[in-house]
Amino acid sequence: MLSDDEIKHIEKLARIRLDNDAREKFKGQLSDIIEFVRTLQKVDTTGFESEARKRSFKPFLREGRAGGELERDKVLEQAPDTKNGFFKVPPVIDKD
Amino acid sequence: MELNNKSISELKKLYGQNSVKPSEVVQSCLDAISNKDNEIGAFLEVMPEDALRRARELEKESSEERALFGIPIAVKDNICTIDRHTTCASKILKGYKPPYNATVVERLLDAGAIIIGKTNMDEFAMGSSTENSAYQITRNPWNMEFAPGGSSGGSAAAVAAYMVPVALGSDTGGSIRQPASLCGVVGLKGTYGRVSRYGLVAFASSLDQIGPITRTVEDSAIVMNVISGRDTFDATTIPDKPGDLTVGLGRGVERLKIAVPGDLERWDIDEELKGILKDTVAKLKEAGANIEPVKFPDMEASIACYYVIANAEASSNLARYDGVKYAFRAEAESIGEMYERTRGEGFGDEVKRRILLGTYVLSAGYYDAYYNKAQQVRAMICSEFETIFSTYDLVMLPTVPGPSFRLGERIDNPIEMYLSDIFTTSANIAGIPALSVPAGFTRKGLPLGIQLMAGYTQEAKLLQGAEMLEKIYNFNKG
Amino acid sequence: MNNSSYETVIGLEVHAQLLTETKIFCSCKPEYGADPNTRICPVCMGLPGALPVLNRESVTMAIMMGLALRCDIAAVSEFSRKNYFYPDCPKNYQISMYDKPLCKNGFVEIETDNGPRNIRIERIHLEDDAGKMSHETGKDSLVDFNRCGVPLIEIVSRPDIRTGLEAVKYLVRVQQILRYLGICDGNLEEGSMRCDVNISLRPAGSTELGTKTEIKNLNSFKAIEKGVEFEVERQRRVLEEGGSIEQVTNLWDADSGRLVMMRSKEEANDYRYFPEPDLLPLEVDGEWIDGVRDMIPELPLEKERRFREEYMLSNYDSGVLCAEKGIADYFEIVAESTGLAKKSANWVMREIMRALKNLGCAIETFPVEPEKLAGLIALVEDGIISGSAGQDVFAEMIKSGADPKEVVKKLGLEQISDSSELENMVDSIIAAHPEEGERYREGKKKLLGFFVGQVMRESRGKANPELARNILIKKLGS
Ligand SMILES: [Zn+2]
Repeated sequence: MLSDDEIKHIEKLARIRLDNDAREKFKGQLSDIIEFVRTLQKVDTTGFESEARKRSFKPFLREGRAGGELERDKVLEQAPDTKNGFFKVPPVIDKD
Repeated sequence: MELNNKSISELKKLYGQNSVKPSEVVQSCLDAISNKDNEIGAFLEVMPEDALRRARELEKESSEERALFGIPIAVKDNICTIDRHTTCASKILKGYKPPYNATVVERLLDAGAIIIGKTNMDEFAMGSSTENSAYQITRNPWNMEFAPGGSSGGSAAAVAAYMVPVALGSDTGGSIRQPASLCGVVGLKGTYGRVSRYGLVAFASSLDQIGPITRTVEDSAIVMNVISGRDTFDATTIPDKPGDLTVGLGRGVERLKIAVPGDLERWDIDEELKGILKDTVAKLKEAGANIEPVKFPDMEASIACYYVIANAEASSNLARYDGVKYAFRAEAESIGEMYERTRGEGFGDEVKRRILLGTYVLSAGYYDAYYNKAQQVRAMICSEFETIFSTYDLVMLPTVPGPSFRLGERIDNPIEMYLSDIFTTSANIAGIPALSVPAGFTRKGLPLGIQLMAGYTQEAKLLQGAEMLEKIYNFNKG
Repeated sequence: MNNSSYETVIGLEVHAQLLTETKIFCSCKPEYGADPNTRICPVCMGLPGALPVLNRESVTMAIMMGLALRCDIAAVSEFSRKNYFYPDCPKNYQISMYDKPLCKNGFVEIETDNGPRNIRIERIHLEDDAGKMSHETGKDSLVDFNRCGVPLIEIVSRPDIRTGLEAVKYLVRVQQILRYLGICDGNLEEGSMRCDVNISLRPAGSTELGTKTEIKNLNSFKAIEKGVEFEVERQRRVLEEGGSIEQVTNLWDADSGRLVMMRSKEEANDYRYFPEPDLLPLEVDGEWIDGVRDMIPELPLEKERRFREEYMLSNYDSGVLCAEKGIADYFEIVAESTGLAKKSANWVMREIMRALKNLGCAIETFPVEPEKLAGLIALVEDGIISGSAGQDVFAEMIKSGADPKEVVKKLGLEQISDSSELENMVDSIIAAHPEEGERYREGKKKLLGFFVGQVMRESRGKANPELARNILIKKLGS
């Protein structure tokens, strides 16, 4: 079972704040899911330890041809808040 | 003539004879939507003006060259449509209008298709019932008390209810095939990399694929022909075109080797579905196919592997929804508070659960035990499938263990909901093509589906086999 | 305890922006100083559904640096996601090579008081840059995403550096090499080259590393030297008082000349790295590497060595001339065409460098082409004009960019080196001063100066003094 501290730590990493009720509910559910996915550890994967990702073709690369920038107004009109062509956000208080 | 009931191939024929016009077809679909969708709730947004305007534009040109000339199509709401809402059925993207079209949308438009609306889904494609939408419930057209499945529930319901001949869905662990099975339509997920993901709002990047939901196997092939192929905006697309996927249609299954998982009894499969499966085996044998039981990759391991990888990737993919650049922002005094409140209020419970789980499995001290181990299991499953497909052309199994379930029945039991993906996730894990074909109905009138899987890049064989199943079931309910 | 009882251990991380035509994962063209948010697209903005595709040129440039620093180039490298929330990072993860970097195990040679020493390079990897924030204390912050996705290489040294001065020497070398390769303009003030310093102390003779602290935000060589000295002193005091060093990250505040703590170890981020699923592993074959090798010019160290041997220049001269590739190239053209290496070196190191400084321009846009400077040096060396006239001609050439011969003609500065003209002049002067001629012949040889002075006056300074002298000696007799 996840402890309160553990789930709070994950909330912090994920930048999702849960209220106390939600935390209680999630703690149980997440613990069940973690219990479930822990079954993976019983699977014998001998021979696949250093397996890279499946790849059956050579990846391609972008050749440098400039272009495709968006109009600024078009981008900014989707933003919750802007100022003088910038995106505006609440103060970045230290440690955030 | 009820044009909304026509399949793509039927409409193509009608256009070829100049006996209908795109605007008539669009109008017929729009009428069907306004008649039925209040109750069903398949669409988050319908675009009648856009669709009719485009239909009239298309009328100025000839229908010959373009593969989807005048074909109305619905698009799942996690696929970007320029200047039109794309919300992933999430509050956090409420009001968001992307400044670009997904590659699939561009390809559909180039082929002459007409986008008619955006369909409901589980928020960010996370779910198996479409109940996780922040906006509305979608009902199963065959029984309004039942779920359409998910996460592409809106797309499957729209096609099943004859509101459109085709809709795009996305499939990360079964999200095209499962709702297709529950709604009695054809749902195809191609090989990973077959269809560009550019403009598909990412859930799990290494698993996501866009695919068509149609009423016939032939239609599925026609649409897949249009949307597949390398895209220079998606580095994970496969270089070569699959070739014309309709070529295998009509060839039958003679001498095809089809494997059936040997341990299906282990799973709690609906009795009627078991009967259908048995009957299908017999009929396929009659048609000349060679059918044998095989040892299938461990399905429990596959689903556990899926939940680790999918949610790990999701936790990172969904980090960008933070209130800075677009759509929803919760008011706050500091940036940290803004993040936590925007994400706390903007995401629904299922999304939060998965982000937290994904964050957990990647966090310091757990990476090796979960994420790394899951990658090894994934590699092993891939290799097991390679072995199977070195002998067999296709694997046949149920898409879902049973028919649809009542709305609300599973919403509070994540694990039970997850287990409805038991037969579908392994195709995403291995990146192989898979499809669900309608296989008939339960006595209570709920659709059942049978799934086929094929080897890497073998979509043509998959559709060839699917067409045979279609014939066997002679699915023809109007 | 005295100062020598601790050894300082310094490792440097240099971030260099690559001068590619487009950003690393999209087609936007980077431009320093562009209007905010005008150099962005769905990809570098991390809009929902957008995907990265790696730009070939950025890999080529990273390989160039790898080869220049004698690194091994990995046949397969891989991008990972580094997950952290900050408003200047639109996806809230950075795409960066983590456990499979492109280049490994190289070195940079620096000069120290004890002779040359190799600073080992641990790795060089590629990553995308973040945007820029501007903060007003206690007020809202503003974000400009133009810089997002500009390709960076991070060059990580081993902890082989012992003093602030060595750190600067290492950085000057790295900057020089980046500029020689033409892959980065190496501007610390504008941030196209950035440096983080890791510092720890350990008892002299110990091989174990002490607890290290990190300094960021060092945007000049002076700041680096000072910041290092400051931190070394601080750590020494703590250790001498019997305390222990805390693992912290500090920011250098140039205004106050102090370090400000940014975060402590407890607050250290858990970045949850995992392989970037949107990009396949990067494969670099021998052909690519060979092609890049051919693009690498002679590097500063080799050039300095060659200048010493080929032109017999001192360590100092060759170091100054090779600091900038453009200057070194300029010098070589001058030296080759005059055949006078040391004279050419002096001209370049004094007149040219002074003029560049006064004009505030780069050698590439300097109005006097090297061939013209060579012409000027030849005019002086051949006695066509005097040394001081040479300075006047040079000043005029900077203004007009004209050919030195034309300038000499225009200013009428040409020396009279035509002996018949001078002989006539000498004849008439001797004839005009018979008394002085007589006394000269009687042994008062000092009077030769008087005659030379007369010739110079007569010719208004344009007579070649050497030639005039010889003619006088001949004509006056003994
Ligand atoms: Zn861009």
